Amino acid sequence: MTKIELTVNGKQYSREVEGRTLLVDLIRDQLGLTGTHVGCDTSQCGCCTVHVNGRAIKSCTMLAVQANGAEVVTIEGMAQNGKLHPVQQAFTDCHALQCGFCTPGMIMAVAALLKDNPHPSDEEIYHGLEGNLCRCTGYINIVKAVKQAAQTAR
Amino acid sequence: MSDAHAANRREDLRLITGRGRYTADWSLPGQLHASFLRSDRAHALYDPGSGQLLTGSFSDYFMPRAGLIPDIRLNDHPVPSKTNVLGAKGVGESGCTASLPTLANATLDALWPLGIQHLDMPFTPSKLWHAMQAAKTG
Amino acid sequence: MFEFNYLQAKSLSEAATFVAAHPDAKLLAGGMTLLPTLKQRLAQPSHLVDIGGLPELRGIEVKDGKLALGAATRHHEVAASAVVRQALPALAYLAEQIGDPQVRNRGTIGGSVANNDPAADYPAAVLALGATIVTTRREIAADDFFQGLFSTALKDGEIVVRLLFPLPQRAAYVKFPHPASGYAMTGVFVATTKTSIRVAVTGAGPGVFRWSAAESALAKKLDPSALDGLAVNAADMNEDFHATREYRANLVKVMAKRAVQKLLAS
Repeated sequence: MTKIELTVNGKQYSREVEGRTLLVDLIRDQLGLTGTHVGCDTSQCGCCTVHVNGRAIKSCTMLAVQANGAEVVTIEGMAQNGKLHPVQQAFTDCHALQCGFCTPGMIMAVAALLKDNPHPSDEEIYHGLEGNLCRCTGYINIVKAVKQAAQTAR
Repeated sequence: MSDAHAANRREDLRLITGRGRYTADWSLPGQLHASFLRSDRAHALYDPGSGQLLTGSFSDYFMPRAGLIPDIRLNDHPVPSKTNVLGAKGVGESGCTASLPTLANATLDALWPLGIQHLDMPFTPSKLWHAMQAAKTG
Repeated sequence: MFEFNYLQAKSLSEAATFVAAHPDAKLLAGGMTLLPTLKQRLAQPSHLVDIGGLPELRGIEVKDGKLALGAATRHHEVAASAVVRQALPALAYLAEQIGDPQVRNRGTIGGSVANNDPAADYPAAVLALGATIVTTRREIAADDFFQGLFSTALKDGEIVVRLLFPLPQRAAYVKFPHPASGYAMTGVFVATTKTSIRVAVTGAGPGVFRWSAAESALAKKLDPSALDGLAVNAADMNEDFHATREYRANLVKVMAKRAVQKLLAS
């Protein structure tokens, strides 16, 4: 077992984990933050996307021990003081979710995309969403939500 | 259908803040006795010798991502059903069934000038290329 | 995953000593290949030695006409680096095509090269540019490094430290991505120097290879049409349920022409 310390959504945690504990399992099972989902478990679908030290990563493909000392943000940490993050707001305004299963990972990926590229073209949006699968929406409204969030953030 | 500012659904708030409750998110005693999974993907390929599933993950089974279909234009072409007085038809996912023959017809239409008059899905690049080569020589 | 002992290396020499002493230990940098492998229980290392954070493996700089990339440089760093975009834009472009954004935030060039997946992108660049792989023990030329399916010249316990890319006159990379995995179904990297042209192909065969016939033809005439009469041997190509070997052989030619086109336009 290894002792790790990390900050999740602004709160500090100290936990003992096995080497093989995945970051997504730490987040869901040990910290009770079930907003981050396990979809494919083979690093394709992006449902598990969180931010580690400001970068979007797939938490099913990262060991918890690799996040020792890191700052992690999950979907639960996106709204601040009861106010939705512009990406969250855009998702509901644009009907960019149906079942909602891909949504947390999608929101985290979009937020990261817009941080790197505040005014992405259509092609850049498609490229930026290659790591996130959605089976319900057909992506059309998700792309609209990205554009609205980009507008709002100006 | 609606434009960008549809009425926001009541369930959206909990789904976009990570407070959805999916079956994977809780664990109750006796919750799982047995689970049955039919093949969750069409054209699942099995090795006939060993029975091993060859398309076992999305690394091998193609899943559409954003940008595959850049935009959807809606056209209205009402054809009432003849099987009931209202002329009503099913909605929801029954509409998907039309997409497959549409794609197949479009593909065959493109290949028709080469003399190809029959081709089954999946229309992979390799399969299309071989059909076109065979048509050139055959 | 099977259980293993996790160890975060405090220095490169500590890591090198440890893996030399523990033959069942594996190195961990980005983990984008290793962790999925472990999750499927396809490997059972005794230890994972995490070298992803070692300062000795970091760095992007141009020195003495070469672009030096630390082995632990993430794909997104290569793609976004102003230094790389200026000195070797084809390499920045290649890095941007790897995987997806989340994968690019973790995966490293050292990991990709040491793993030598037959469909990985970096090996094509390393081979076409005639790069040098600097390890904890020696320097290895690209032509001597890649030895077939998931196989390299690296000895047990030898760690990739840095890659040195001689700056080409011109270079271009094109990739026909596998629709499911995003790996190269075929990727072709073309690079010219004052005296040579090199064409490296990934994804089509059991390992990255140089297409010598194409190199000779392009040396005489640097134009896609120089490849018209050429073909790679289909028998040497991979075949799987995604694509036949004949299809891949054709794809190599198509993508090589596109790479030359792109190089001429660059």
